[in-house]
Amino acid sequence: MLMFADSRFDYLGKVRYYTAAAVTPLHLMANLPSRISGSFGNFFQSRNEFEAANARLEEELLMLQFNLQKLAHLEAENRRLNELLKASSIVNEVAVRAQLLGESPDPFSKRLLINKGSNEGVYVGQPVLDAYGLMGQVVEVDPLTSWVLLITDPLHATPVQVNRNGVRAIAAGTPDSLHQLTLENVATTADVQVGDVLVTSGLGQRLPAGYPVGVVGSIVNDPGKSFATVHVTPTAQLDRSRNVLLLFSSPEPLPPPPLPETTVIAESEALVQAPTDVAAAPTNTPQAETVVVTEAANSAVPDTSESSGAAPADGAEGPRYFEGRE
Amino acid sequence: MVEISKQSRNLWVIALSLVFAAVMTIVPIPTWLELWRPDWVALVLVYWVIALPHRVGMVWAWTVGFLLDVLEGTLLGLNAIVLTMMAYIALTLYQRLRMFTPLQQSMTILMLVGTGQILVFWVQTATGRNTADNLVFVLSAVTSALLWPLIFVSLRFWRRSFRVN
Repeated sequence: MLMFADSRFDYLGKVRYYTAAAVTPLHLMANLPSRISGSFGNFFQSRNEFEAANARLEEELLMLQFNLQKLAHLEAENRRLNELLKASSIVNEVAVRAQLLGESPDPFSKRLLINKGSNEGVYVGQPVLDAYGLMGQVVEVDPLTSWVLLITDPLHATPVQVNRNGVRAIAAGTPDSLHQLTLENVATTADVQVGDVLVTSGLGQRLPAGYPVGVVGSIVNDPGKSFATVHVTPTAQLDRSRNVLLLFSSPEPLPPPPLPETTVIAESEALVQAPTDVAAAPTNTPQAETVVVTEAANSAVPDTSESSGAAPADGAEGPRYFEGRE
Repeated sequence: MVEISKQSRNLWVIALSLVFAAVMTIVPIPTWLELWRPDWVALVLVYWVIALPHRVGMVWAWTVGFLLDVLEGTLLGLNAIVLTMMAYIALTLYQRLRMFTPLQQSMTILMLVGTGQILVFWVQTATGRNTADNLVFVLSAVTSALLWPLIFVSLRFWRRSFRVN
């Protein structure tokens, strides 16, 4: 029983850290069967199949590079516009590939084990993505491996916004399914539609803004409840991705998250804030709340809600949130 | 005979079987099977406690449980305390368990593993790591009980062929 108390208060971090390094070979051993069967599959694949796959991949690469050309242009333009608006500086993000080693055998928790640890600079709170969207964040780091909590774990909540109009919400995991999130406390009048793409909003300062999280699958408006029930299907292939991407947005680990009030202000200006922002933060807290509410109410036209929501407080700070989001 | 019992107790067989059980616990399996995954480590541990109560006891149980905690990434000490409890019960019952028929043994295993699962569930719920509101987690106790005769026979075979004592 002493152990529980200890691990709750994190005295045993070091013990776990080094024991985890020692038992890493066992994880590799446990994965051996699936790995062997995979390599056998590769070995016996026919030349034709490889050629077809190669052609398909080349085509895909061409299309992606084509899109990338436009992206570079758009990014530069976005940067210029942001500078014009004196918005926060843009954070450079670098993705590092990691491989899946295993998943938590506990059927009630959705965690993945990846093959990169503190030796490679992985830190707690680091976002993890796959090719299609956000998967989760690192919750425990050992020398050679780390545990990733998936966004669909019931203990995880992701700050998101609707890509179409910027309506903000919290996407929480569900205990039932690996492939479902629910939006919490969404007003029945909020402009959220089936098929809306949700991206990370960058609120909370843990996860960077703008990465796809999921697609709204169904909305149920129960007249007896004060909020709508919104189910979201994650875009990331949570059960299929063997390769995941670790996002390094700053060379050193993030500082501990500030008080809840100030995280509201932090918005999508994810990591780096201008000194003026920090100074203005405490005074602006109530304003940010009003923006959320008014936007949820008459969010069909974001521009009008922006002006009406930001009007009561000082006008200079108001529009920035919306620019940051779009 | 004295020499054999002194020099080669072949305790590595016990260690290896426990490590193998731990690996079986973390081998990736389909999600719908996860609930049915038997408690391999508990089964193997209980076998060795019944067979060699003077060798394998609560210290072994705690050590294996600790390694399992690190492997699974669960709360540190959770599996350790649960396996220690199972080993304690098995230690107090081993003389009766040896006399039991396979069916009776299986029923005892069902109770033993089920108790362990409930303990795990309690602690996880108390620490906010489990939000389930039903008792499906005891399903693994059922598979464990069904698997017990197989574990028993195969481990007895290994114990005899390597003369573990």
